[in-house]
Amino acid sequence: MKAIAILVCLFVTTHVMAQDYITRNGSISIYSHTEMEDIKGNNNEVVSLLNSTTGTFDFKVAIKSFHFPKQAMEDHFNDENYMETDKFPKAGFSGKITDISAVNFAKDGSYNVVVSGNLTIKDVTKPVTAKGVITIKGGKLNAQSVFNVNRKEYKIMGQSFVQSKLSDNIQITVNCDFEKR
Amino acid sequence: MSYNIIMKSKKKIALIVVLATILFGSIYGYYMWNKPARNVAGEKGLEITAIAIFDSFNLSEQRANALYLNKAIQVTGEVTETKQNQAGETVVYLKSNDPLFGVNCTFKENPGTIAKGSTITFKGVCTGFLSDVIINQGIIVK
Repeated sequence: MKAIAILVCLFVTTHVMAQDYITRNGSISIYSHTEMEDIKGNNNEVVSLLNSTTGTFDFKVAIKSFHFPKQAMEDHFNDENYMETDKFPKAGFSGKITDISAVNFAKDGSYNVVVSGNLTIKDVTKPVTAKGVITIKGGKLNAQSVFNVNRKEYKIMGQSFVQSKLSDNIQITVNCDFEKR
Repeated sequence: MSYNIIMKSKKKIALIVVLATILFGSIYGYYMWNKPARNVAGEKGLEITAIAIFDSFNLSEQRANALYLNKAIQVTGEVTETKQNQAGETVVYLKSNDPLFGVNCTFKENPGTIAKGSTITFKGVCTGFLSDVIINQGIIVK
């Protein structure tokens, strides 16, 4: 009887620990800074799943969901010289938090983590490693990270006359509020 | 003599054409740069149910992208949840045949109270299929 109780306890604990966190409306913004122009776009429909046991961390992003202050910027962003969103409507990241044991999901606090994985944009997949912060508060989870990607590595070339207005390094800011699934 | 006059007037005309091109080019450029944001309110939406558009993407994402991506979609469905996204915009999830995901609708303006379980019609721009079908920059129709 006692053994069964222990087994049940173990099962319940592992079950609780193997918690998935999800967002269907996470935020990612992109930012390009040059002397001539600053460009910023926001996307509030990012889907992400985080497994708190294994640390696997996946993101899916609809590129057409990025919105800009000016329609003209948005039209450029989507066209065949940049993101070609009619052909490549999605981008994604698949990886893991390398030091998942550093995060105590049961205790409120901010935890520094390193996320490593593969970023796919326009069907080009490259390894990416970024620092981030996981914040646990009252059972909810927020994940933030800022990192740079070189757009040319992902075949985002742009016309020649915009090169001075568009940085090669695009800053990506991830800020996602997760809920327990 | 007359040849010179013709050459002069030709030069004048050429100059006028160049100036006019620059002027209209600049006006066009200025207009394009300040082009107003897309507004679905003035567009006729493709009418479909939340269940049908989700099934369509689930069956063949490629085919559904060709049909719905970047189009104005007028979707009708049952509200499973409402929330605010991190930018403070109202988001409504519409029910599909999938137990977890559905149609993810983001309003560009606050639509007022929308009750969970009610059936609404929403018009917005389809930006793709992640786990949900994503429709944003939308307005309430009914």
